[in-house]
Amino acid sequence: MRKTPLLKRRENNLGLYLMALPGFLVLFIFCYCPMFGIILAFKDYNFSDGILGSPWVGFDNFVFFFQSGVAWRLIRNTVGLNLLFMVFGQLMGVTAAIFLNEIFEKRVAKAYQSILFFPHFISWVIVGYFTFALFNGDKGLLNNFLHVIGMEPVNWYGEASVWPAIMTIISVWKGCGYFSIIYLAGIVGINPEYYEAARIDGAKKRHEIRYVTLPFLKPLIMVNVFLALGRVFYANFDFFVNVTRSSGQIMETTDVVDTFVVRSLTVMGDFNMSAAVGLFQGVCGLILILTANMLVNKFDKESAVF
Amino acid sequence: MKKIISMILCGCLAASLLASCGSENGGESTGGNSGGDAVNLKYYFIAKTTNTEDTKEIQEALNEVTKEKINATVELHPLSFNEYPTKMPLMLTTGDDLDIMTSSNFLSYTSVVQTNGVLALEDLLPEAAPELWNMYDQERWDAAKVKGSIYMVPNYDPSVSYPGFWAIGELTEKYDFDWENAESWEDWEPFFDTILEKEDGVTPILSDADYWGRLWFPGYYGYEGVGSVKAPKGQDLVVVKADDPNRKVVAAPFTDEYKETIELTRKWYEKGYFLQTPPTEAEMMSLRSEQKFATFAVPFVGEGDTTAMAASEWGGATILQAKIKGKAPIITTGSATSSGNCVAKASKNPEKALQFIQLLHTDEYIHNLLNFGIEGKHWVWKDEAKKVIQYPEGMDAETCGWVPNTTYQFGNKAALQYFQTEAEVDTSSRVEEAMKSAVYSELMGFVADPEPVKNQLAAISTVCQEYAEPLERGLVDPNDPDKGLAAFQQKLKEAGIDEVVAEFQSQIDAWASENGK
Repeated sequence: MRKTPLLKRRENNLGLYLMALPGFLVLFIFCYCPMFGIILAFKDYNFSDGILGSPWVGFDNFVFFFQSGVAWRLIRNTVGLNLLFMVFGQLMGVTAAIFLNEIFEKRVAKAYQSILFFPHFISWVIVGYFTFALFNGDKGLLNNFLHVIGMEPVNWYGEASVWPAIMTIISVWKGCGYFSIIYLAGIVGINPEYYEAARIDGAKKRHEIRYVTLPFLKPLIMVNVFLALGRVFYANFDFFVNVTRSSGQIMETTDVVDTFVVRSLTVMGDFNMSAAVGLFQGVCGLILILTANMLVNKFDKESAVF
Repeated sequence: MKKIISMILCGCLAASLLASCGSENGGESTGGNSGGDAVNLKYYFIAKTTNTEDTKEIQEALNEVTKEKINATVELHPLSFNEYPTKMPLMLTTGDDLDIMTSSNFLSYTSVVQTNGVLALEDLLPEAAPELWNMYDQERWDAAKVKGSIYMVPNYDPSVSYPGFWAIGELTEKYDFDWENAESWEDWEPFFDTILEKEDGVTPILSDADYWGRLWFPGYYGYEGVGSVKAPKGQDLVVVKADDPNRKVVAAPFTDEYKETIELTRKWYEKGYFLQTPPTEAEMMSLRSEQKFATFAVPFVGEGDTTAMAASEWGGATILQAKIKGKAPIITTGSATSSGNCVAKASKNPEKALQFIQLLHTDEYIHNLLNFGIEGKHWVWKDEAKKVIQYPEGMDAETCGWVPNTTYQFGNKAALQYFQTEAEVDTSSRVEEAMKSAVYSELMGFVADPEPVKNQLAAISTVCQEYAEPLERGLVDPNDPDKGLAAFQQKLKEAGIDEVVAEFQSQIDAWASENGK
């Protein structure tokens, strides 16, 4: 492959390039073109002067975030919860994929796969209602159950400490099927000869998983982890708003950067401030990815993404 | 072969992508049927129900008149109650193509001005719309000034409101509760206890997780909000006693009244008067139409007739407007600038826009066309002499294709609007009467500028969400050391409430001395 001249290779792959074109276009239009807007973070924008004409204000727009007194809590919640979602999401995704792969009856496997994948398509609004049906204080399923077995009902929407767990479970339930399909595709792509060789050497099922499947999945896991790391400073706004119902009493553990920004700025209606926080989240994500990749490069060069 | 097919497919995909981007801009500009050199005005407002077909018809009827009178056509852009407050500020800030928009409680005058997207009108008004300019006293125009400029033509919609409940008449009658003479909140307790005891599945006071169902409302205690400093879903936070001649600014959570109210709320919550977990507004509405409640706490119990509202939103129950008799009616600056029409900076024809607004204030036909639709199709006379209208045979609020349900939006309601029920005819004279006894605010005409303290306000909104929301709903004990009132006050101080109070105080003092008050 290396030997073929570049032009020739291009010709061969023209179809592939064309297939990638819409993706590139979307990326270019929605990710690169708006990048220019970053300067809004340093401006006091008003539309009569235009974006370029509005006065520069330096770092003024960033002040509100750090002066809020909750900046640390917001970052802790955002990063902490996202890491929880990432770790458990990937873990369950890989596990589910391995299990699905072991089911011989293909139709059963497909059924399980569909069931696992289904929550991925449910809108967060609906998920919010599921959660409410389970946890609300008046007629919630969980409180009814507690009542039946003779325990005191709990005001779930007032108990900040249980929410990281609840949210992780919901996130895993919703995302697991999606990741399991990615990983399943990875597993299916592994050459069966490796397994045969392992079996000839006397490997048990767990050995096969440990020494064949996982090493082959590692690059895929790495890519997913890196993608998640890049967005660790961005919380899924739909998720946080709908599932927590913006309940004040559980904000200690569920208030994240994005919900804070929306809350502050619906009061103020200031674009520059939200642009500033957006930039901050992006820069933090970038630093995180670069550091992670650097560390990986240092200890395990093969697995590094770039 | 495969390759060619895939290439064609990709090409199609890319093309359709680009095409779908392009077509969106195309559709926008062809709306108005501007013939000759009539200019086209885009008018944005809030409306409950407006079918596309009916909107078109009304637009055509409207344009016949406007073309003749001001040589302009008007394009109607009704938005829903949910859309309006989120979409309009964006459109204004980004300088989107629009000419006229309404401001009301759903998108306050202060927030509209803050977007920097509306035009200062004081120079244009006397020239472009002299009739409108001379129609109202200078005081009314002064009341609409922000930092010396008028950004809105206020509507004339006098109203007086009282603290109290909207109560279901069938229930008060069943348990023989004397709602008319309830002097205080506590007088309602026996009724609520009976409901809890005898009516299964009925909540005494309906509340939701957004705005409704709080007992705390600054206006109940004669306070008036300053500068729209609010908890995200809640009430004014920085207030002035409306009748205080010194206009001393205070933060509401530090007042005794606040403490008393949240203690009462907590007591009632623990007794089970409210739902344990507040529902969303949509869920609340469905509970409401099923009548799974006895009362609904509202800050604006008024004199108006509730039959129409009860039929459309309350499943046909009898809705009583139960005032708490011991409390004074509320009139604030809010009511001077509570609704009106603004001209966007982006407008290319601000003079024409003002002339259209003038028509809203002077032309009976146009005013009622926008409010109620076309005669014979959307409404018919019930009593033409008294100007009472009703839905045509076989039509109601649900089936009619044009029910903006926002009678305050389109100009001079008091002088021009038809009545929807017989009862409203008397009501309007009762309102005039009540206006005389109402407490007028010392702040009438002051509009605050929150810009200098916006960092503090951002922090305060989080504190309010976390502490005020649960406290004002009775979800936590006010004496709780971590989540109670003391903690709330402490957090407010840390977020800079003192600076906000000081800033508004100095703005008010400056305004007062400038205006010789």
